[in-house]
Amino acid sequence: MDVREILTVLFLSLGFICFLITAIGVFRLKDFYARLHAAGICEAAGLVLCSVGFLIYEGPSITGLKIFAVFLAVFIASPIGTHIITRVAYKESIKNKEVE
Amino acid sequence: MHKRRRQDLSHFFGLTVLLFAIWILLSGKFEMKFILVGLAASLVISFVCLPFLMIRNAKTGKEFFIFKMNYFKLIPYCIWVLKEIFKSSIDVAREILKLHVDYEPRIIYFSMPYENPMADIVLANSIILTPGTITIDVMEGGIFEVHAINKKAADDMLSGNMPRRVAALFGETCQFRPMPEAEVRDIPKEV
Repeated sequence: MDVREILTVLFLSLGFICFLITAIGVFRLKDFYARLHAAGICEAAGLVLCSVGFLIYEGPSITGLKIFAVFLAVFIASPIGTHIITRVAYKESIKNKEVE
Repeated sequence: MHKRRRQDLSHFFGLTVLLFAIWILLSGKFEMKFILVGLAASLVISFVCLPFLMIRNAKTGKEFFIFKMNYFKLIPYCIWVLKEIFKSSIDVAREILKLHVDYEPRIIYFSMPYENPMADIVLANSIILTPGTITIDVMEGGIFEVHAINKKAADDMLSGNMPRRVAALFGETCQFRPMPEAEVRDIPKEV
């Protein structure tokens, strides 16, 4: 294993840990909005770490640029979904109601 | 009128270059035929789409091009946002992995009346990308309604660091002001 593969494994494992914490958080936290906060971890940090891992593995090539483009698209678009879900929930007054 | 025409032209060429770069990236071929087709397509698309990419301030009616921002400040801002994402990710992860779950969610308000609607979008997106804070609504007059998972996330938001950086990104000069909840309740809400 050379340095590049070790770095790839490192970043992908860190990303995996982010996704794991998100999964635990969605189960453990009590109300609707806090679960969205937990989902935010994989949406932001997990995505960044996984993309960095893929980029290091791919190196400077056109595929690497495509991975970066995908990363950018998800990075810009995913907050909009979170915002719409939160806004609708708030307008429909799910106000910190505990979810069993 | 003349100045406006020239500004439109620079937006047109900027958009064309962006679309052409995306074409090259996605096709990955450098033969003459593909490049000419891509150039023609990006010219036509940016001619058709330019009016849709102008965004209007609802109050003053001034128009802004959505990709117009200070690109020299954009890269430091992105790095700063990434740093914030990791910092607050660790905070939320700590909140999740605590033995007894006892977070205190709260809703905070602050006012940041940008003139450029794109600044509202960038700030709202940055707030949502940072784990621990979610923008619920952007009300009239630039009042942001933000849900925070605990006191630390709320205090970070109310320090006004992020709104000021976005203001610098778009060259805006407006004052950040945290708002108590009672003040916001008096504002009549749209139905």
